[in-house]
Amino acid sequence: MTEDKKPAEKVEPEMTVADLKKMVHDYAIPMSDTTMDDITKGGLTPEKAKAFEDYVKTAAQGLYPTLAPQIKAGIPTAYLLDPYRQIAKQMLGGDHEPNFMSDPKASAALSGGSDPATGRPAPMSLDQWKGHIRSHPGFNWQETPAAHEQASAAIQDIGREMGMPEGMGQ
Amino acid sequence: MATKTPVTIPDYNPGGTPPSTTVPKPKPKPKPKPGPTTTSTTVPASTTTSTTVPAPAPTLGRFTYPTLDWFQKNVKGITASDKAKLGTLAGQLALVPGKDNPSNVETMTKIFNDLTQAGGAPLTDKVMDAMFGGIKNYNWRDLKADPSPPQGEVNKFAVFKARNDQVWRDILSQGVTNIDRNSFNFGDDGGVSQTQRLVDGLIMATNAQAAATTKSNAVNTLNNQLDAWGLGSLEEHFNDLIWKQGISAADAMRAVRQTKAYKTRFAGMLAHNALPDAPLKLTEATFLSTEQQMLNTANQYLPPGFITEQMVGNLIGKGVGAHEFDQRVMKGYAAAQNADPATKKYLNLQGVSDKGIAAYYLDTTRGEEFLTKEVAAATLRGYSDNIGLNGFNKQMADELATEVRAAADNPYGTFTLDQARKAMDYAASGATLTGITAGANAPTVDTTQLIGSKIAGFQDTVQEDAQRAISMAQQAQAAPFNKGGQYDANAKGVTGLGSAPQ
Repeated sequence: MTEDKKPAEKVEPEMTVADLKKMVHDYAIPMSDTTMDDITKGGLTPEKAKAFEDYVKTAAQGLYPTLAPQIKAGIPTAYLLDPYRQIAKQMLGGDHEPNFMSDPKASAALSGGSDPATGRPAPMSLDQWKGHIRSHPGFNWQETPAAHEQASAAIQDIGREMGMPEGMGQ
Repeated sequence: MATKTPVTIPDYNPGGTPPSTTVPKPKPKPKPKPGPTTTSTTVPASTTTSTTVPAPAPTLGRFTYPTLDWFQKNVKGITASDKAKLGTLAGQLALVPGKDNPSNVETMTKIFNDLTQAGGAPLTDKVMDAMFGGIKNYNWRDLKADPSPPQGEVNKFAVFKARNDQVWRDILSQGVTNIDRNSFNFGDDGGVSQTQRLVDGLIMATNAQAAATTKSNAVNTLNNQLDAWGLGSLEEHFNDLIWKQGISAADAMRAVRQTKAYKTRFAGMLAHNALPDAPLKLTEATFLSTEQQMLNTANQYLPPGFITEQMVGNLIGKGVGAHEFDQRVMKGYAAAQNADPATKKYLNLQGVSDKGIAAYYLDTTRGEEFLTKEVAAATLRGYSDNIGLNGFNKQMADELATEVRAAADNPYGTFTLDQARKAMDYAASGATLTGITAGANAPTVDTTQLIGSKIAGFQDTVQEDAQRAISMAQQAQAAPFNKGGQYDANAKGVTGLGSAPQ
């Protein structure tokens, strides 16, 4: 005889202040610690945590309108921005941390492209983002060793195309 | 595009004159403490940082024209022609204190005209960019491209372009202090003279460029090489394709070949390769090499700017090779060396070399346009010696040369050098009218009147009066032959009964 077992009731783990802070970080919302403390004052109930999560997602959709559909679907902003972040780090060095929230040259990644269907601003393609980093003087990519190598190679290639003798211009 | 770094310019104090009393004086800075080359900077967050004082950035200072040394250090790809031209400019820029001194205006205007107008001795694009590239929205190429400013506006033309309000607002946004802003006092009714604005604009532009070039970067490396190859006009295309679009340089070159800028730059090569009897097709490399070879020859034997890159391109496009070009130039140079000694004497006195004379012999029309006032004056004095024109002095030669039509100095002159020569011929032929031939009381004319009868306003003569005086002198001269039977006369009156020819 088998004993009927009731399926174990799924218990939502209780959210902590640290979780809320991570949420704020993941959705790339600017919020001070003081505000966070005020919100969690008097205890963090599941209802309060859920309301906070909804608020953060809504705020993120407003802050990053071109990413709004994905954010609404539950993908945190940080995940959506990560490819841009990784490319920036590859091109500018591991220490580089693009500030997509308040630095216009970095936030251009989110609105510098164009939606072919509507013509509205859209996130850049990753190729566009690379070109943006290369050509925006604010990133100082031109001063990196990779840039110098590319310039040297370009000089060689252009010279060769024009029929310059080898070594000209170096 | 090179990175433009805002620059701070020194306090406004042209020519050592005190600042205007309407301008608030800046608070005196505390005297630096003696000690090692470190300084402490207090920041608002009550932290104190200690930084090493960096080496001073290139400072050009007010009324200091960018020197040849500065260009050689900061602008790569400077050509021999640039060096010669900049050397001349540096010598010309002797501004004197006094904000509205007319000689300053004249000096600056001449330099601007020289730099920007057709017929002047142009600097290469790289150097022009170094001088003017720091000024946003100021495209010196536009200025250069318009060789025909409205008549009577020649002197104002460059000034107007440079002090266009938007340009000046942009200049101010590049680091001019409020004190400077007050001092500039936009408008023509006071404040700083146009000359000073021009000088300041130049200096700020060069300062901005100097700041931008202190950091070597890959974009500059590529641009410098393109300039060295003579492809400065294609920089924008290459930068867009390689850096922004990220396509390979080889593909970029192929794409650039389709552009208008490329077709303009290599017009000579394309025309040459389209010749039905072209012995061999030129590549960009061989075209650039031939062009450089021809320009080197021109620079060596002709005045800077007489032969331009475009002219060389045209010649190549018509099938003229470097060897043939050398022969043509050498022919002109040889003619210059064997030129009329009288003219050469005066040309040399005026500091004109055989290069200037060679230019004239190579292309009389352009050479004449190219003549500067000094060359024209020397030419006219030499001509006066040759035709035996007495009483034609340096002052007269200078005046004629000032008014003669010549692109370098006076594109709107009222007569040509040839017309001046004809007037001198007339004066020489009328030399008998200047002596006493029929008596002391007979009317005579002088050389000034003789030339003034042909050239209106010469030496303040009234042309109609001069013509009338000459007519009277001619009648007087003819009178003894018309008055048959009259007695001879001299200063003391009738001298006798005369005599029949033997």
